[in-house]
Amino acid sequence: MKIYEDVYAYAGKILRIDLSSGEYFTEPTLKYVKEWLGAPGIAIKILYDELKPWVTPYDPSNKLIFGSGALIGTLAPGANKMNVSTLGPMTGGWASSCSDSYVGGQLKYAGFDSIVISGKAHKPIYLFINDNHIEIKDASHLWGKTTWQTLELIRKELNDPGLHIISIGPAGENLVRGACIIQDESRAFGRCGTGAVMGSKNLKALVAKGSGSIKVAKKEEFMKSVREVLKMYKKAKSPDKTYKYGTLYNFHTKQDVCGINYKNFQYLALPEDMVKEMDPRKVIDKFEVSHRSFPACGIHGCGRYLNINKGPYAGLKSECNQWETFSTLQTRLAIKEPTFMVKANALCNQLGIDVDAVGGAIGWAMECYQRGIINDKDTGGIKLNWGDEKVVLKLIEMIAYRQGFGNILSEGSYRASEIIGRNSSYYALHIKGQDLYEVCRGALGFCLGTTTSTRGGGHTTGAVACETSPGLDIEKARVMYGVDNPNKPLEYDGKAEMTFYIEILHRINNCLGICHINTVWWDIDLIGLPQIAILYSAATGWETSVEKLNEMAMRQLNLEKAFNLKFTDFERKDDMPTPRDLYESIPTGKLKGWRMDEKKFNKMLDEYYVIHGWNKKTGYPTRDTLARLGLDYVADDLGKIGKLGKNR
Amino acid sequence: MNTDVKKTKVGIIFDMPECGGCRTCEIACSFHHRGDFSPLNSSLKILDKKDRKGFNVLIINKSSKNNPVCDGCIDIDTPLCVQFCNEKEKLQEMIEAAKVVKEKSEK
Ligand code: SF4
Ligand code: SF4
Repeated sequence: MKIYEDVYAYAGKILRIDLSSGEYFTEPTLKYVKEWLGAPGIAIKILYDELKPWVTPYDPSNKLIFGSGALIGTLAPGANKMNVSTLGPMTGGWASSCSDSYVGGQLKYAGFDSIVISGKAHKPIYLFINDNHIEIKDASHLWGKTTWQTLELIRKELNDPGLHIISIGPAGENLVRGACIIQDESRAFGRCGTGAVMGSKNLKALVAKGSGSIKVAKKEEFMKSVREVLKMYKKAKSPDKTYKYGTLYNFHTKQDVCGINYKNFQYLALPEDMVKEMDPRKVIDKFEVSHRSFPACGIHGCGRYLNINKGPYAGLKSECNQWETFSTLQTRLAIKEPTFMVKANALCNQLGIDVDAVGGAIGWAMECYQRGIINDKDTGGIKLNWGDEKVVLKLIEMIAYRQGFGNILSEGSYRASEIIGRNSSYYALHIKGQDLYEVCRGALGFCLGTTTSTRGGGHTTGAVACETSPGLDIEKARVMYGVDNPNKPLEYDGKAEMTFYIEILHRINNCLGICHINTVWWDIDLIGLPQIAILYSAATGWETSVEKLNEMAMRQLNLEKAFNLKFTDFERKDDMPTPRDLYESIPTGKLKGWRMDEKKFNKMLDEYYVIHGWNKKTGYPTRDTLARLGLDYVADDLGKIGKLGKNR
Repeated sequence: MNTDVKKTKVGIIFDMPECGGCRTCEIACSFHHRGDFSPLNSSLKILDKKDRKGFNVLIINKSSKNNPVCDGCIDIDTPLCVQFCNEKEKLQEMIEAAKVVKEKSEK
């Protein structure tokens, strides 16, 4: 019997490797993809089915799953985002992150769509996948090294200066809750603490190198479609700006719409006198050496390599950070030195720690210090004043190595506030235990997608981005979302529908490996589900409609939800904004005085649950909904633990 | 024409300050030769320049194990690599130049 049928777009195999025994085997990708599409879709199915309810994130029986989406390795625009998913330590539930990656392509050229890693190695190791040759290699000499050192040492050791790897730094080794996984030097699988799970398995790095190929079923049609959709990137307005400044190009818009985190979300716009001084685009203008990009990006890259040759960080050479680091570390902690963002970002990448996890924890600590809730005794004498960049850099190191006060902060703001107590939890801005970077006040679609996200906060699994976009083609957006107010961030109506749409798009993107910034999420004039369906159909040879993609995305979302219900106590209240976002009005800026309306938010959340076919009161999926998606067995499971949604 | 040119055993290295390093050209070229995507099997290689602007582009003109020789995509109007590059004219110039060097050395 032939187990591995010919398959297009996919590489065809899933590698299962147990680090405790060192044994591995493969299974056909085809076993999953007709229902679960790819990378995180495959991962949620495996994790839900195979993890017993008593498994905890650092338990050797937890599984860490790397996945490379169906279009990665081809010329489909933006198809280079690799995924990692697991039971994560930040929320205690579904953890899933994507990162721009060369490793993703290499993995597929080596013949694998996903790698499912279970068990725990007896000593530090790294995995080297070289086509069919799978090697578990000693990493004792790499343990303790930064991700940058690890990259250099592995390239030397394997005698290949062009090799791409993903690795963890000291933070992951030390099970820092917000530890992340870094691809090469500067792209992160952020949020969720997947780096700590990798550390718990004694897995320092993953190296993939492939000499094989990815085939598409309908060559001519596929290439024709790619050429056709690439024209959209020439016509749309955002690609040139993204190409020049990455997501930092949005600086003035963010200031205008109150979308900047200043002093731990106390303010959502910068003081006017700081705006000029802090414009992050100037750093790029001044220090750019070269562009950085990933294969097949329709924008041709959002990255820039900088050589900081002036100022306090002179000598630093690194890829420039994107917007997230600017807002979550630089402005959140009120730091004025413009190059700080590059330094802090580089340090977090070297240590393998998520910028939002440290920004959240340090932001909470600084605000508590401002209010006299914590003092020098708690911090071991460190003064936590806003804007003190030296202290911030020191704290980042202390977090990664779990030293002194850093040990408390390494748990993230939510848990740190539980440890300190003293009513400090109000200043811990998190969703489901995961530190927030997202500014939720003033943009209700962005907020709803963030608070309901199954991975706990995060704006890449449902948060709407277009509502505050200047120059949005409103007619086009109306048609796409099926609402008449897609450009009204302060209106509650229609946000459930918009979030629903983006939840689908984000999942399809993640399963196929497409970067969100290459799609209608970011810019309504770029590719969306109809184009993606055409590319996927031509690549696989399976005629796949948008409706079919929608159904797969919803199946995945429902299983993510059920996975969380199995492993956590999340309920409706965990889909609500933080108390600060719910009750405080915006203090300064163009939206000064605007405040969320709790009643209206609850109504919007009701609508959100109803659209999904979930119980309005609890947010639990109902049997009907699950059955429609072929998830009857999940309904049975939820019934047994009393978490099956009633139909009304 | 680009002046910073270096010959190696397998091909010619051009300096391309405008190159953003996306390596999409490698994927496209492999499709030209094989009809599938396999960047290792490409007639051009994008090489890091460390701390200088852009990247180096190696265009293969002697065949070896994984490296098919660049044929200039003579069967189509615009070379496939160029079609997918952000700096079309620059890359096109290099493909042309590589052709000239190859023809000369064959004489
Ligand atoms: S496609 Fe163009 S920009 Fe991209 S790596 Fe190749 S030559 Fe450079
Ligand atoms: S012109 Fe040469 S390098 Fe470019 S795609 Fe054709 S064969 Fe490859």
